[in-house]
Amino acid sequence: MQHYLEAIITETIERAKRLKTRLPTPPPIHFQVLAQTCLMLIDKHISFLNLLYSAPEYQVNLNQSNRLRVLKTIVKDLDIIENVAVSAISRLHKDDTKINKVVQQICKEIDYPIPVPPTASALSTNYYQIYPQFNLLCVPLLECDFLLHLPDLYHELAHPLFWTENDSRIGPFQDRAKEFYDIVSEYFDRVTLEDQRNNRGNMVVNYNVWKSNWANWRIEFFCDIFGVCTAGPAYGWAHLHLTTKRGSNPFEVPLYSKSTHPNDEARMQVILNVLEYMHLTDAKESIEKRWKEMQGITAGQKNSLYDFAYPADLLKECAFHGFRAVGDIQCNIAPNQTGVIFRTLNEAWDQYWADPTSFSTWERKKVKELHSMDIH
Amino acid sequence: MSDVGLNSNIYDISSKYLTILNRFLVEANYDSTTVSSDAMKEVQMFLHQLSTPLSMSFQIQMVSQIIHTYLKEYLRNQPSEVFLQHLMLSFDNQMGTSPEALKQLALLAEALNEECDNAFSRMRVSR
Repeated sequence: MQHYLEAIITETIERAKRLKTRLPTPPPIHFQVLAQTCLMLIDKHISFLNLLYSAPEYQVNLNQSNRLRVLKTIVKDLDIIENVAVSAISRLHKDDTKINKVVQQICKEIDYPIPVPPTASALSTNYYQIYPQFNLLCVPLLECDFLLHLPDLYHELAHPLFWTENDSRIGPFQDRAKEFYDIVSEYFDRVTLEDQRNNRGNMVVNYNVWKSNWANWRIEFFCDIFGVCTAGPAYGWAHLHLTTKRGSNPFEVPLYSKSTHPNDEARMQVILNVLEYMHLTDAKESIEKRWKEMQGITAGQKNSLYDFAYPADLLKECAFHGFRAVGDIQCNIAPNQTGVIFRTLNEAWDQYWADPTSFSTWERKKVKELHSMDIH
Repeated sequence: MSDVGLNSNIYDISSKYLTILNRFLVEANYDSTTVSSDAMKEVQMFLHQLSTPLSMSFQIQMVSQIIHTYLKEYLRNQPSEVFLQHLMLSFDNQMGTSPEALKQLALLAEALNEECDNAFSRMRVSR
């Protein structure tokens, strides 16, 4: 088995070396930082693979399972580098330049606290995706030609804020997220105890699942809050739009399983709370009205467990802590934002509701204007 | 919004601490008397961070949550907090390379390894 593992290590080193040759020389300007990151990561993995091959501690029988575990992790890492980052660079599309300019401009407008804005690629196979380890944001191919979903870019920009280390500007944001989960934990520990006392612990399993899921949910909630603070009401509209077009049951409550995203109803409640904090009451009421109308025709209804998994007070606390977290990192937020992308996205939603039939014509013109502007 | 942003971060943070545990386990399995002080200190610091909920960082809180969820499933009758305290004491008393401590550390490594696998799968089939 030891020789077999060594053969796999050799094979993996070869593949990693080959991967480096797939990068264009020089890479296009917007992709040079990403290319540099890929080269650095590939080299790091190759030197680790060499160690795995020859270091004496990896030769003993007792360490073969650890050796395999490390090898598998490196194979996974290289998979992501190949399938995501190098693919984005080597399959460059002309729309990549457009989306990069938009992302750069958004970062400038909101005073994004991470110094290097993400590289953007129109290669996504599944809506908007950010890979913080590469600082790479992927959007679908046609996204640059349309405006109504672009507010979701702001949500993706929030993800790296949770994992950047040793940055005094971002630290307070992470501290708020951490403190908020302490509140969530305390809440679920308390109701679990009460359930054990009064209800024979019938719901303990569910409470444990929800407590654990809230660790991920609060991250998504905070990303939504960052989105609505920086993109304004357009973000709330984009959430309605995405849920209407692609969402499943907006009230879905996981009883036993792990879940990374909170349900769409809870997310909307948090977004509405934040709009209220920002004194954007008219926008809040308009979005809320459309949201209720949408719920009237959608499959799925609120069941009795919804309030146990998503207590209204916890959602309000979440909105409050998230709003404070965004305030702490001193980004430019709505309604005082005046940037061209911010104005265009919010104007797009006003236009969409004012006259949906002529919206496409208006949008085409606006998109053309946006991409012809000197906003890089 | 897909699950990728969240899951790739969970993958990275789990992988980071898995690497620390793995390094220690590999050195200890090779020769428990020659484990480098760096590897020993890294694990000790990690265990201390896991055991002080109020002062832990956001990243450690996420890792802690992953480990506690796994241990709750695995241990059933023993609270995960007690398990971690016991392991931390082993390191504080220079017993980090004892067979029992190594067994316990291997369990933590398995928790993080499983989370890496799961986060990686979720990234690939993200909605």
